[in-house]
Amino acid sequence: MKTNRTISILFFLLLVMMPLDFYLIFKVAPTERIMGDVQRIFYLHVSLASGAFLAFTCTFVSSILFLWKKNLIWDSAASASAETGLLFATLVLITGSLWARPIWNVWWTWDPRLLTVLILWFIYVGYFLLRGGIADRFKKAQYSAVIGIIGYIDIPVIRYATKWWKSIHPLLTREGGGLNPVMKNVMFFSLTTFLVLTVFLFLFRFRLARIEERLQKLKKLTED
Amino acid sequence: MENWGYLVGAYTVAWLGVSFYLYVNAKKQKAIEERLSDIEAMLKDRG
Repeated sequence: MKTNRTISILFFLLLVMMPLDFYLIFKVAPTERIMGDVQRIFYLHVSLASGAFLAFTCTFVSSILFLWKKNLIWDSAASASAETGLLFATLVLITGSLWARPIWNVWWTWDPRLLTVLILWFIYVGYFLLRGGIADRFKKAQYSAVIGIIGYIDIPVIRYATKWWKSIHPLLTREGGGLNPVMKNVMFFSLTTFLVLTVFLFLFRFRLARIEERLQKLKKLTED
Repeated sequence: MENWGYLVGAYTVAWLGVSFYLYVNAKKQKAIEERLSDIEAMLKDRG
């Protein structure tokens, strides 16, 4: 009941925040001097990436809690957040590619940042392939929790890839430079909106996972 | 507007992706809830 109310509140919040975010991105944010209008993809791209990181962090924490408490509710939380994270990571790769084509003149390049995000994407695709391949509910939860924890190592690698290796990927903040104040405010609002969207999608999927769990239990009861 | 196709494409793909994900899950939820109420009614009949 509490989850249902939170989902409704977040939905109505997003109904206000999303159009406002669009207005700020397309009307208020100034056009970037070198890249032109295509730079506006960044507000979406960075926000999606932050949402994916938040979701995968939730997967990591829930996976640890599952291995510790052995309660399947934490597995439901881990898989729901991993699904949200994978959706956002897919969109990050697509929107990044759509920005790279006019700016770098290529759809894809083997830059460390891009490569580490692609590795993250494959890790979580593997996570769901594994879940689909194991019938035993508890074993499925155990194995995917291990992947959820190990896979998370890639997140700090993505964060520092531009520092550790030679990269052409743009940085959001630079010492003594970076975004102009209006762009920074728009980016901040966009990030907030997408973090709300991430929580909304996670709760939506988590509720579904719990209903699925209940159905499985009832099915077993009728079989017995 | 320069390169508007890429800009519109990125926002369209993102919003279609999120909308499709929500639509599929909402449909799945509806089907499961119907199934749940069927089973619950069956169990009630059994006593």
